[in-house]
Amino acid sequence: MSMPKKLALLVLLLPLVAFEALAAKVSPSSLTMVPGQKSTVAVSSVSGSLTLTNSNAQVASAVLSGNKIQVTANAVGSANLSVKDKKGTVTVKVTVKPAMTVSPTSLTLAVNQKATLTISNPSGTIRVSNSDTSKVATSLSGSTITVTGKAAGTATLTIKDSLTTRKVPVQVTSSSGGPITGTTEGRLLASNCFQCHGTYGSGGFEKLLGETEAEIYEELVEYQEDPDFSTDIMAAHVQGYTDAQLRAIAKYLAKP
Amino acid sequence: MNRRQFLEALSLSSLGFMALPSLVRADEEDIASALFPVPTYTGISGTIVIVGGGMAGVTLAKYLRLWGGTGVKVTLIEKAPSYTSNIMSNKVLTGQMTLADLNYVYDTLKNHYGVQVVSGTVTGIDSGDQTVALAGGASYGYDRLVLAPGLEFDLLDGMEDAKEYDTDIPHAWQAGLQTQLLRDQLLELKSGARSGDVVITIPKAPYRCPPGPYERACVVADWQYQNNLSSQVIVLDANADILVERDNFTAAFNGAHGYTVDYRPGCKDLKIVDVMSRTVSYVDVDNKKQNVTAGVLNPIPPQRAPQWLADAKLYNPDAEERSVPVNVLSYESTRVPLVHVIGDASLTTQPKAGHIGNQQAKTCADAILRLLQNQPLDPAPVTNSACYTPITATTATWLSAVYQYDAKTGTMFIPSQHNGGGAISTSEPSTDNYKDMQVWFKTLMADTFT
Ligand SMILES: Cc1cc2nc3c(=O)[nH]c(=O)nc-3n(C[C@H](O)[C@H](O)[C@H](O)COP(=O)(O)OP(=O)(O)OC[C@H]3O[C@@H](n4cnc5c(N)ncnc54)[C@H](O)[C@@H]3O)c2cc1C
Ligand code: HEC
Repeated sequence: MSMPKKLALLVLLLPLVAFEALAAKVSPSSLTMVPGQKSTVAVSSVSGSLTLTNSNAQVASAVLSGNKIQVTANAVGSANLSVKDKKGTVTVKVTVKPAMTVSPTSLTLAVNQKATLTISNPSGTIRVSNSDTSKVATSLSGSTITVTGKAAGTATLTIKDSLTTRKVPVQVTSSSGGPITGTTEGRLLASNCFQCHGTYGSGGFEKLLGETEAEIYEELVEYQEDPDFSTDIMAAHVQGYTDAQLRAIAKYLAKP
Repeated sequence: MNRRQFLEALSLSSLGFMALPSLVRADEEDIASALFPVPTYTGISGTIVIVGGGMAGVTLAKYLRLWGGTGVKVTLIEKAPSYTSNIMSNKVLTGQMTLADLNYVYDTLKNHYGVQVVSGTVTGIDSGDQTVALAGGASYGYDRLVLAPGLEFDLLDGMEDAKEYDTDIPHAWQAGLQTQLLRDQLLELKSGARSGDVVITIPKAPYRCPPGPYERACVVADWQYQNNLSSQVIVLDANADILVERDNFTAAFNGAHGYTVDYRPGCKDLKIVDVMSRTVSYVDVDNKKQNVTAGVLNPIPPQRAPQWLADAKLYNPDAEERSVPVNVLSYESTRVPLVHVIGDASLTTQPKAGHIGNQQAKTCADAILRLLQNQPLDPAPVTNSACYTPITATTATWLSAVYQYDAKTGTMFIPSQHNGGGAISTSEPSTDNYKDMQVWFKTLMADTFT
């Protein structure tokens, strides 16, 4: 650019800069929001009437009412809200960031079992609060929260960053509903019982979790020896197994 | 004391009867609250894609995570936003249940078990690239693919368009809007807006849920009787005889529903003569051609594994049993490696039913987890089928069968110690069985969807 042109530009810009200093004031002068969030920008030192222009209504919608701009974040991106009065224009920059998410959104744990919650897109400092520290313990490191079941019951974890609040319900199951040892021995065989007695024998026709190996085995043998097996579906069912299979099933169900 | 000893003790005492209902099924409450965690580390990892969120597919997704842990990435592709249970759907016909009662959603699978649930329709597979293609162009890669898409329904001879099932002659063999249409048509019989008999046609076996059509005939007959309708239920069965629970259904057809059910076995060459007037023709056991005009026509069509499975060379569409041959130790296709098929779309010696689809899924889950770790398959898996069948609005029967693996033939069979190798069924419909049926249904669905 040649010297004269540069000068000309300066001359042109100077009055604008001068006006800018006198234009209305906005507070805050920029916004960081998450989709769905609402905020207000206050406009002061206004000369004459105000007009508002929005560079990207898809990202944020803005409504001027009196000396306030009501901003609603719609989608991730940025938008400039320009407020003009008699003396000039001032711009509010709106940045819409993805909201912080926590995964999974709920947890079920056994007593003494640990699980992790993973936080994505946090803004600022993460804070975790726990509605019942006698039921679960939490520890935050970076963007993961380790949750440990302490006693049967429920607790709600509230996870906050500077923009978003997430609540994660945690259910701690009693030790009779877990911890599941994860043994595979006899597991597939015993899973034949789950359609009628619940997953891991947790309940349905009869709850099997919590019974001992000897109790279960004896009951199965009693059913198997029932000559009237066509009047009781349990007795009918058990006819199909070998003794070795019944022992394996009883062993598994007593300690799944 | 277990429940039986308790019952025996009760029957000896005289006053226990009133207390029974509340005590008997106390453990039912435990079903809903029992949610077990997905282990965070088991050392197993892999990417499994499942097509079809019905009885078999959902059970598989749950158990792959429950047994395999978070290292096993599971994606379930389902075309419908939620599932409508076929089981109990005959009770919608009688107004004892609604379709909403039979609705199951995928939330627990997503939120608790961490399964990625994708809404989409699979159109084909590329077994070389190990990908499945969805309508709209998306595709998903897999280490192992499991297909659980249920069945497709043939057009009956004389029909022009499958839409006729949706508008005029519902088969209602996949619960949904057709079930509601059939219910509405039955109500028109009651209001007098239409007249004539209810005609149910049964295809040659194998078809989905062997006792299902007979069950439907029974409950519809009972409903007609309860509502003082003079119409009959005419059953045109392509099979030579009642296939399952023969004694129970024969007794029901001749006894409780003797005046209402007209059971005609051995009907060949079924043809829809006219959709609008609901006229069918068939050739009877004496080789005579017969015409029947129905008030309500409910043709249950022959069924096959979906066509895109044949296109993927998983089965021969010209074979008599148009479903997918599998190795029942793993439910892997015998033709296409790394592709497994469970539920109604698979061809095994087990019935096409939801309870057994659930157990096939567990066998498949166990096998896939072993395969991912290069371990040998369980050499002796067991499966079981159980079915409660309503006979009237308050009574039901049941059937139970346990299947063992026969290494010689590579098939599942009912062992001889189990009633000489046959299924076992109750000798009489009862109200107790009817109550048990509700517990069974709730528990089976919880083991699948919760
Ligand atoms: C009236 C009636 C009564 C019955 N009663 C009993 C009973 O008492 N006991 C019993 O055990 N069984 C019963 N059954 C049988 C039982 O419902 C079926 O055997 C069972 O549902 C089969 O399970 P499935 O997973 O193979 O198929 P389905 O349960 O049909 O599930 C298949 C799923 O795959 C989805 N899908 C299909 N194609 C695609 C695609 N291309 N892309 C994405 N998704 C796809 C479908 O939308 C569906 O959700 C009954 C059936 C009927 C009709
Ligand atoms: C088809 C449904 C069904 C299946 C499958 C089934 N059960 Fe049962 N079970 C029942 C019913 C119903 C009862 C109550 C029996 C009665 O009325 O006597 C029962 C009762 C029992 C009892 C007695 C419980 C008590 O405390 O009184 C035991 C033990 C048992 N089942 C174990 C098993 C095992 C182990 C398996 C798997 C190998 C199994 N069941 C599979 C239906 C089933």
